[in-house]
Amino acid sequence: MLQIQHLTKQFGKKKAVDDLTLTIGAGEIYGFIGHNGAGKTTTIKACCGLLPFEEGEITIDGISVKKDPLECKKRLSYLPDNPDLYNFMTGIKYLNFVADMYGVGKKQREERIHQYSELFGITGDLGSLISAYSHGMRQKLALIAAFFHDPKLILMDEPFVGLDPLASHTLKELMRQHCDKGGAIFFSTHVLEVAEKLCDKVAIIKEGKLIVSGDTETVTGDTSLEDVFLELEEDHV
Amino acid sequence: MFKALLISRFQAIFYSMFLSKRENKTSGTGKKILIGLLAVYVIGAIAALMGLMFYGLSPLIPLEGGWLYFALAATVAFVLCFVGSVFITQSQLFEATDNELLLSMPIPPSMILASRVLVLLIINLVYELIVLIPAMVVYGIVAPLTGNQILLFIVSALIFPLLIMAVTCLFSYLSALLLSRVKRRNLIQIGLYFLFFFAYLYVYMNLQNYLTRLVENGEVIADAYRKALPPFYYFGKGVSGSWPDALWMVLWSVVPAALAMLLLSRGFAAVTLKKTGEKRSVYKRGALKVSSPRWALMKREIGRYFAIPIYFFNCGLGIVMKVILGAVLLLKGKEWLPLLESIPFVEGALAPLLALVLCFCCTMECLTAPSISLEGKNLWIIKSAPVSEKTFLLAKLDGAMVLGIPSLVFAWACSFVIPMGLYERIIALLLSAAVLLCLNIFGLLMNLCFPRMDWVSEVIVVKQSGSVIAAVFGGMGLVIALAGGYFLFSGIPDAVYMTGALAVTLLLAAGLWLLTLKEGKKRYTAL
Repeated sequence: MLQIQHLTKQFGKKKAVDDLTLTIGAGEIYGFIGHNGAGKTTTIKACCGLLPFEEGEITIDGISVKKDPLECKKRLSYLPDNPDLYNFMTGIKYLNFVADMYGVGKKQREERIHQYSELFGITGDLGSLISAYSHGMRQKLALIAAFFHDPKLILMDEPFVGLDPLASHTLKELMRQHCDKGGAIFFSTHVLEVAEKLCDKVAIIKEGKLIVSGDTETVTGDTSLEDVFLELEEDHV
Repeated sequence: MFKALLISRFQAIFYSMFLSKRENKTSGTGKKILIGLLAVYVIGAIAALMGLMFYGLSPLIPLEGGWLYFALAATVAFVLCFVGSVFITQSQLFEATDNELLLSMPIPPSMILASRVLVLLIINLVYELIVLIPAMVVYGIVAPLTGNQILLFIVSALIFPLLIMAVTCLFSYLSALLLSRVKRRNLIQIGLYFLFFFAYLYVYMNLQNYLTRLVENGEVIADAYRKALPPFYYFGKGVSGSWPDALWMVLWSVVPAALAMLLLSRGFAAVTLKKTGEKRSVYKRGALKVSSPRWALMKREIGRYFAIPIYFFNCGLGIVMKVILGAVLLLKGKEWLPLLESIPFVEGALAPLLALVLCFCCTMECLTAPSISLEGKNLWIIKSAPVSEKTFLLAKLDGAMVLGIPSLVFAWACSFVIPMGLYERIIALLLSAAVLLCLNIFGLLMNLCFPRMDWVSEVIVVKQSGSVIAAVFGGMGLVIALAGGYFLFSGIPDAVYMTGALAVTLLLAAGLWLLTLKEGKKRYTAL
């Protein structure tokens, strides 16, 4: 589904991502772990065409993000680490706007928006301006916008930040359901317990370079993901 | 602590003017020179206008020992500073996005306030000097100027902005307090902006009358100043050579400023942190409208335009002007027709005049110039959606035209009260629509070239960004070129000239659009 090959992204002289290669297959929840500034957000942004990159190639369903970004964007959705949404729109107008962007049909959008907003418990608030929403409500709205148009690939940057326990549980279930239907999810997180339980595969990145990747069980072995992460971090100091 | 706050304010100003976010380095010498030249031009133009106005008031200099002249100068400075800084004061004091962050730190609100007020004080000082220096120069030309007067002028000019700042801050505080309690704050803000603007326009249009009346009624006005406007009276008396009166002026400036700071520092946190009266309505499931991406993006542009009062006021003034023009044409058109026809070069040239007026209104309506910058931190939404750069840019242009064309057609339809040839009338409409299109494409291109995505307040983008300034000058330049061409080719019939002007404007628009598309992809990706 998503192939990252020898990705290198530089900001000035600093390499934010250095020769990164990863493959995320259909049906996989792929966790992306690393310390702050390791290059997680840069990688995710490059995957959804938000950041141009100097070297390497990223393909979604075999389509190059560099050469045909629009076709790639039709297949994915992105959730940033901070959900800055249009404050001047109501929640429902925002979701309808997103539906227009992705060409979701009338019946489908009405059903899905209702379904997902019920799941996250914000149906009653959809008529209010986004400027009146709390951080958690914005995150829920951004999550609904990421899921309801049924993209093949979902890229998420710290999706659990700001969510209440119930919404976190709902999100984990949605992620699993999405991948069970053949979709793929690539997300960054600092919550290692969640990554360990939820992800089929994980990758750990440090200073732009991939340290380890593979099946979660293989990576963790007999220890926890937290132990592996701390050990790898120390090894690379 | 205060020093750090102050440095951060100045860094923010410097950053917004000269620093490029992506490369994290200061912008090139060319941009600095351009900004400098623009500043010199604007300041020079206003100072020249002030000089002319004060020359008109120079007959007052021999009256009352010259104090009345300086009192009037102080009044003009006060009004200019108030109008020029009142909206910026509100955005800097109460609407800045870092207020909550700073208030969460162990910093007294009064200190945060003081650091911001000091920056505003410097802005007011600059505005004030643009008025007072030409006034002093005119005084020096007409009457002998003593060293004592110059010294008193310097002291008074440095102290007087305290009073201006106090009044501006109090006004901003009261309006922020009011707006934090009401639900339809956007409408009230838009209303206030237009009220200010039209009051200013009214005074400006009647300035000559006021000047004549001032000169004729000097004694009466001097008496009024003495009784009702002591700060201005003492300013005038002080600058004309009296140290005791200058001391009174200092008191009249320092005391209100201290009181204003005391009041503001007590209410600053309350006003800043108060949640606005935004309506939270319960959503009832209903049918959703399906639109194409381009149409949806255009609706979003229009929604944003009405949601940001300063955007509506600053970039959509032409829309209101066209509606007013239409109403004036309907009500007074026939009555003013003989008067218009009596003007030598207007006689028989009503269609070009109509086109010129419509085009001029359109130059005050470049909605696209700040539109990319206004995406700010929301840009990820569009950049991650399957929308091409072309659709994104086209939708911005659509929004500007959809908002601009109805008022243009209204003003044009109202012009039917004035007789002129049908062909010329139609060309006048098409030409002004072409100017509107051309200007908005230019605005889009300028914003792609000079984007400002990291703003803390929309006011910075709408009022101070390079793209808006470039678009304003570009629009004026185009209309001046079209008007100049008319006089240059005065030998050819109006209809022929106007058709040619339309063709040239459309060609220019096409060229700019091609350039925008070519540059657009590269610059949009880099945003």
